Amino acid sequence: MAEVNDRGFAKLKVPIGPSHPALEEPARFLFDVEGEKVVDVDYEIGYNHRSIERLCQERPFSKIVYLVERICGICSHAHPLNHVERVEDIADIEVPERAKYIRTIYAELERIHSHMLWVGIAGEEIGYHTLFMYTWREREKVMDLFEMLSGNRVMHGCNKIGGVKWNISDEQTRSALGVLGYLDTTADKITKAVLKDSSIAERGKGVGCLSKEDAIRLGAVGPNARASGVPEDTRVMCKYAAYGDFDLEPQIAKDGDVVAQALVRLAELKQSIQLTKELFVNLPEGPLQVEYDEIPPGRSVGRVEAPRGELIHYTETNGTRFFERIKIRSPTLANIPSYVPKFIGCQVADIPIIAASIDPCFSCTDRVTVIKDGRRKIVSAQELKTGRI
Amino acid sequence: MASGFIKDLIRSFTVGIVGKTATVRSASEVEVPAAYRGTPIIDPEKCILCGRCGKVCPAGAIALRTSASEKSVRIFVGHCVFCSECAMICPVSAITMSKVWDTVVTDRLSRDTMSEREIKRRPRPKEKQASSSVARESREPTPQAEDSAQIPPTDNKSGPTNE
Amino acid sequence: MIASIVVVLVYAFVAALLLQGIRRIVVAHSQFRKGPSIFQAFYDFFKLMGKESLTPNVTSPLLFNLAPILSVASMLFAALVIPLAASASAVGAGDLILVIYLLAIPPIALILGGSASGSPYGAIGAAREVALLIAYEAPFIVAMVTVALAAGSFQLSTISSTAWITVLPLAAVAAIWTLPAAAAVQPFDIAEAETEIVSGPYVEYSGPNLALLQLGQWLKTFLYASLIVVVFFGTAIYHFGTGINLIIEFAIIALLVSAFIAFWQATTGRTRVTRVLRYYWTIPTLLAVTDLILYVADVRYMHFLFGWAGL
Repeated sequence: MAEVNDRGFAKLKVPIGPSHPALEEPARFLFDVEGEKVVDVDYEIGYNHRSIERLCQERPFSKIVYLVERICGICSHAHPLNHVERVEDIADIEVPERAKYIRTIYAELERIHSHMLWVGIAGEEIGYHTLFMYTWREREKVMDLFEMLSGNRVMHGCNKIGGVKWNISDEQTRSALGVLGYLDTTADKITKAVLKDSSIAERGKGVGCLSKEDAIRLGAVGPNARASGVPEDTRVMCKYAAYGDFDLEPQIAKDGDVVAQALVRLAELKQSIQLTKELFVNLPEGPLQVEYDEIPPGRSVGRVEAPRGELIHYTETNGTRFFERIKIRSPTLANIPSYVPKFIGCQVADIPIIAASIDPCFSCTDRVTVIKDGRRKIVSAQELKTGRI
Repeated sequence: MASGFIKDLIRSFTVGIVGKTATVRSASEVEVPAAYRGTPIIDPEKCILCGRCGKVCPAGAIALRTSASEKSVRIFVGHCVFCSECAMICPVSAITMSKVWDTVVTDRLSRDTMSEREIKRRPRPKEKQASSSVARESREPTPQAEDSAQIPPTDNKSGPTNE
Repeated sequence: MIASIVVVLVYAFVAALLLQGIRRIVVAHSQFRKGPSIFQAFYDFFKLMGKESLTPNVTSPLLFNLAPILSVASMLFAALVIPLAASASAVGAGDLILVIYLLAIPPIALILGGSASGSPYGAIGAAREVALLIAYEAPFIVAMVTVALAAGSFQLSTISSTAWITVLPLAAVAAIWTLPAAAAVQPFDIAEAETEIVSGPYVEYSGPNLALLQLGQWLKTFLYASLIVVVFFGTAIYHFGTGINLIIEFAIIALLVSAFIAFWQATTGRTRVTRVLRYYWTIPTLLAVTDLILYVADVRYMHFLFGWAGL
């Protein structure tokens, strides 16, 4: 028989994960529920650890771009972009303008397809399969565009140290502009479907609220923070690649609930479509890459706005043909602590949609669970402050 | 909860049932774009066995073997990530990325390379029929899969080469 | 008599599984895709029958293994009692109250099985199924009782001699409105909410146990729809003479009703269990009660509106 706590509810711990239909990637949450209300949450990550940072120390430079690309399928351009920018920063390589624009085009296309994916996943979590099918069907147009430009739907392999590999021809520009025009009207339809449809509004309003103070205190990044009103966007703050030539406004919403998350991502979808059109139209002529000599010893830290938020890479070279250290802090790692205020007080029925609301990508997250003397220990906040990001 | 229900009813009845679905029935209906990177194929006549492709491959899928009697370069399809680094670095452009997207292998260390497959099913002309015939062939068991599997770069057994 | 029993049982089995296939295809077409094969439910059922049935280390293996059997047995009995193929059912006297009780047994079996699973998902799923059952049974029972009142008897053979939708359309609307909840599809698939509680009460079942539990639910959907058709469309479908014709006509009507479920499923997401109770106990129950009151007060509004047409 189940124990009963002092409020008369049976003490029930509901595990979500590591393998659960609500999550695309393995992570473990343990909820203390009373009836249908969640009172506490505990989480464990690290199931997707593949020791990529260690592998990066064993392979020469030219192969690391491909390795870093395969950290995550949805952010498969943000990681190599950040990586090559760090190396170019260490070696003082000036990348041609055309290459910067092409990199930005890929980054924005990736943001478009990632946000459409999110809308589909959000629909799927609340049981609205038709929205899932609809948005993913439209997302296929973006994947076809990627395939036309780079030869593959994800893992484009377009970045290299010193520039890009694949050129964009005029004909490709023309088809891309056609696809983007179609996506513009589709984005309007999706926005209408999400906001006016009572299924999403009913399930999402007031659910999983994150206040602005909590978002800043817990270090939330990306659309997750912008949905709570934090006006930070790494594209605007750091102006990497070609973003310096464009005027971007961070899209923010006030409430911090699931509907606000949807609003922010849909607004960014429209913004990215518009920006990509401008990038294609204003693509400057020029070479695609520059030659470079040796990479000198040095370090570089920098960030990039992945579709999920701020992605930080720390790269250190030591003059040999291997990297000394690459350290990656993915946006989902920063967003995970914001789960706690979101989950506490919600209903069990809302768990999947809140889990999906920060757009988690546990494949990027890579944090290790330390097992010492047979006991399991999660890395604590203290250790995070002293040693690691 | 049933907002827009009648409209959705009519829309799904007319568009969904009468119109074209997004489902594609058969794999042969798939068209790949021009920039598509399929499996790499080494042209045996052009290859000068310099070994640059093997050094640059990020997945370690290319094995260059030199022994007293023969030299050969072999691409292991099960490991290839289709990045086309080998095609770009080859000094004589002996490697091309084909449009073959159906790369089922029964054994990841399958020693059956794309070059040998090309030679074996030579009688048919290329393009559309090529992809479907390779699709048919890949459902048969790969001929060398029964050999003991070995890590590609340290392969010491002699076997079919592609000169 | 044995022959007619066998025919009815086989018919119920085949029709219930085909109904699932049709529902899935219609839903798929609404989503711009082709669905599975129409016989997919058959493939699923027979595949599961060939697998191993594992019983977890639970407190009550008896309840756990009894639930699927209870579910299917009650539904097969209901198939014999509802006049599916003729105005008299296969085993004679069909009683409305008996059928309503039988139709409530598969959800109860699900609740028992879910609670006996020993899994938190099963427990939560069982609790939600309780709430769902209470919610949708309310308007359904009121509507059925109204019809019985109008017919003057609870015998299904008497009730099905008139097409009651022409006299009590509001009760018909209330009863049809509860169909998606009985079928446990969106927006009411909360008991087996996939992304939340991983199949709910079904989570620990496998093999023939799971096949029978699912079969019980499929039969319940089919027989629920059949009961509504028998009660509200009555003799309208019995014009066509031979048994086989009747069965075909009947199947067509049941399939149309299923299409109604499928469209609603395709266009909505899942509701919350707290909302379901409020949803079904307000408007649908109000409709059914209104019809009851109007009938008792002798207000024959349908006759008033359409009496000149000779209905």
